[in-house]
Amino acid sequence: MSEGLFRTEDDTKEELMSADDLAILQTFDAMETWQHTETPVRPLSQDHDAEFTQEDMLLLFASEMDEDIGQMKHALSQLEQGDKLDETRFITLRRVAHKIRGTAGAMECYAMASIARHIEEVEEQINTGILFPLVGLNVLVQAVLALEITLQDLLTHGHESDGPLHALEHELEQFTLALHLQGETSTTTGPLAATGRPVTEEEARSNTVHDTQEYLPLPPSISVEVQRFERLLRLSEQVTETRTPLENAQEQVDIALRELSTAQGRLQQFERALIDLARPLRSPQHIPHVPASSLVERMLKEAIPSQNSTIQRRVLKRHPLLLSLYEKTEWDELEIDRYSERDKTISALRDAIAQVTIANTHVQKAYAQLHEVTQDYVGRATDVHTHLHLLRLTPLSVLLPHLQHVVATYAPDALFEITGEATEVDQDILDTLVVPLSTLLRTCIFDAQYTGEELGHKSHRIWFHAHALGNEVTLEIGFSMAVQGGALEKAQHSIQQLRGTIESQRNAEGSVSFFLRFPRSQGTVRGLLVRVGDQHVVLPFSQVQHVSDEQHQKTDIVYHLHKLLNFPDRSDPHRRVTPLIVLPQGRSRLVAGILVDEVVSDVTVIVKPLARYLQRPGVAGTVLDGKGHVLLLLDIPTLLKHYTVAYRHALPGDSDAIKVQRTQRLALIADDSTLLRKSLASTLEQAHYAIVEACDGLEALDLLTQNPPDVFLLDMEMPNLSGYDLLSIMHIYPELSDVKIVMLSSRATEKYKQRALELGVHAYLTKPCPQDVLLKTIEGVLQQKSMAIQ
Amino acid sequence: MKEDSTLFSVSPDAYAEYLEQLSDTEFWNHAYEKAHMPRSPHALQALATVAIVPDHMLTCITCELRTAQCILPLTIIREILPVSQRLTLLPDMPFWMLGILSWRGETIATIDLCSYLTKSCSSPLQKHAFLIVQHEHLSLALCVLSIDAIVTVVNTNQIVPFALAPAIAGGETPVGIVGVWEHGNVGQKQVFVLDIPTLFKDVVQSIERNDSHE
Repeated sequence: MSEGLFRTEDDTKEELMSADDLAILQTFDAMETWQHTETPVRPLSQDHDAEFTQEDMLLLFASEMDEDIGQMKHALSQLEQGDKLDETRFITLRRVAHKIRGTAGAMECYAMASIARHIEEVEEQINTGILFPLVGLNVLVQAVLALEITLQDLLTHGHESDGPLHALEHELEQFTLALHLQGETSTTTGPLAATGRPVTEEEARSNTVHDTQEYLPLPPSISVEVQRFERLLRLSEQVTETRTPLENAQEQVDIALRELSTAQGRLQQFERALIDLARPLRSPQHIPHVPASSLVERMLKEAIPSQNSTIQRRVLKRHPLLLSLYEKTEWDELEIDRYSERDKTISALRDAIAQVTIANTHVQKAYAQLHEVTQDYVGRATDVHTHLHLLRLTPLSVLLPHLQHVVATYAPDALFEITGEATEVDQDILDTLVVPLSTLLRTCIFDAQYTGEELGHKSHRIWFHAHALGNEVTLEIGFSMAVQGGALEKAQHSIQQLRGTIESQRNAEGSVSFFLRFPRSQGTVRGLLVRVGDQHVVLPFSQVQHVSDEQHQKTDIVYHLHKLLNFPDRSDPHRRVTPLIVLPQGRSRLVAGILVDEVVSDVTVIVKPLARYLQRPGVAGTVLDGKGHVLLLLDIPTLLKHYTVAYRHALPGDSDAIKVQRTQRLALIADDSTLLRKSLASTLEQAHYAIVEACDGLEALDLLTQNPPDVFLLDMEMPNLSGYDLLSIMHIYPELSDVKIVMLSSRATEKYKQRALELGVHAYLTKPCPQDVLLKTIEGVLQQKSMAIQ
Repeated sequence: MKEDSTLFSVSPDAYAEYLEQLSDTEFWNHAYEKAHMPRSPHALQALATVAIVPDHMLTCITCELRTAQCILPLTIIREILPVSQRLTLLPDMPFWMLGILSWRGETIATIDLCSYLTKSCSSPLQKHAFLIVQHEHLSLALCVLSIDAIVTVVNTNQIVPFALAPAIAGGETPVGIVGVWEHGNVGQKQVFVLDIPTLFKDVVQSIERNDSHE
């Protein structure tokens, strides 16, 4: 039997416990004594109560096993009775088998653990399409029967019988061989029948009917409201009507430009004349050599026979009138013509300039008219574009038949409440939402009917509430009953592809609600253009609470955008105000913000996806600015998640900003198996850890956010939220960034471990885990330095 | 020139003297024989992916890197962009990646070719040009110091496998270089022949997995 089942203390808590809890506690107390008989490290007990304790332990295990087997048989009977097989019901079997595998492993009941492992494998083959559901069902019936017989053997003889396991494995070997042979020899890739022969076409058709019925693909065409289409038609007609005024305005501009061109040509003709006019007239200093006028020259020549200039000057002195004429006259009578020409040229030049001015005015006026008409045209074209996008909007009610079908199939007694179905969303987004929403709903509720019957409730409520704010649509899918875990992780990828987010909260009914937020339209995104160093990036408005600055906004966690993006720090150390982008708080009790170097403006951008090799976590796509430069559009939640997970492993330093100082280290254990929870609690309490326990993912999330533990031990398969679900949303809560996470699962396959590591776990242990390995691992992760958030 | 193996086995100096007397072609032939290697089969294979005109004439463009030159087949070059391109940084880039830019509506990666080939981080180029190269529908912008000339490689026999040429990356053969152009030495710089398919494959894989080869 397991050495991990031990415990003996904490009497003070007993007063607060119910009779059942006390019984379990007493069982564990007794179990410790029994366990001492098995472990050489501890003193052997001669107490006769040990025998009793072992039996009690066995009974507790058998009780849980009996319940689990009953659950599996119920699921199988539902599958057998149904008109068509639904592989999602097999998930119940996988989940219960997973639990049995862990519990039986802890009890060292290896035959049952092996049978449970086979059930998981068969379910996985069904899930991946290797086995048809009908074929897999036959195998699973045999496996559950083997499990039941083995349990009976254990209870009857005190030990397991390997017979049922060997028989099952023999059957499975035939399957494997058949599958192997088919893979080598046959070109068909379809699943096989139970006997190993290829499945007939009829069988395949009967088994795969549900595949095509489950997800009715939306047609490739889009539906258009007549009213919207008519409005668009009117708008497009108005655009067409703008053509005439636009052409007229263009013509007026052409005429004005031609007029201007003519006036400019006329002006250019004066160039030569202006050059001539620009020649300097003769100055008085040169007059002695050149007579002022021909008349004077003639008079002088007649009066003075020689060319002697001295005489000439003497003559001039003797005749003051002549001298005055000589000095004042700058032209001769022959220049009168020239004066006349110049005057005419100047006058004509003035006319030409006036014509150019008039033509220029005409051009400006025509251009203004053209501008006005163009603006009108652009406005109307923008209206057409906008209404064209509106044309793609479709109410969410289109989606509802798919969801109603899922509810009617898996929870026919549940009330399905719908509000906000008139909220409109782009049809492409609706197309993308069909599968993840159906999967989310189905994963959550396919087991609910069973639970409801068990509890005697017939009126479970499931609600679908939708509302839109601006370009963002919020959907709440809520449940009044406990649901199956794993839904969040399944839907997350599709929602992220829509640049949306998904999170879960406990609702007023005490169960879980999933909140999906995504843009109404995919084409354009409104956001903030911010500068980080010499780079500009766009943050979607939907991921921003408000903009403030570091001095005026109190925050618990502050991220630097250049650190999140791993860009060089080029911020100005002397700046006085640092803009702070405050993030939506959600359920977190902490306010988080991102420091940027500058908030430039708000922008509406068209997003383009990045090539696969360029894709980065936290980068939703690229947009082009007006100059053709590439800008990154960020996805802040993913960026923070990537940063948090990366630094969980990089560990740059200590952060005690949000770490609670405790005298005793706190461990949170989340597992749906009471047995394993108590076993782990016992082990950790002996190592002086304070313990809190959660029986499902939702309770674990509540406890995590109320009082972040030092170490979080979680199971993979849990109701409401699975281990993967929890890991996927833990990054939303900054206060959980220091929590060390150890995942305990009976899944030993590398892919599960790898997935867990990608989601940020510090260590991954396979159940059953020896006590010393568990404690050593926990000590190891706690000794790692925690991440620096600041 | 014929090799006298007995002489070399007894006298290293004589072997050195013998090597000194060899012409370039004789030296490389000798090297091939010693290495038991065919003449640059990788080069033939790599260059076969680009257009080779008859008689193994290949038109290439010569680019100036910091410490060497390289030749690229003209057929893969789509455009030469001016230096004024503004680059956008991407998180977690390899050290030799300068960023991304938009080219004809496509967002493409920009690589500092010298840093990539030498696997060493160097200061940003003050004066440079972007060569847009395309291979199998994927485009990359290669940042080089300058583009020198269009040359013609006579034939692929002139390409010496990199393993036989002096190494530039700590004695290791850099990914993306198929060999050295035997007749292409200009001054002290060697002329490397790029292995375009390998270069593209390695660049894309490295960027995808955020691997800087450091």
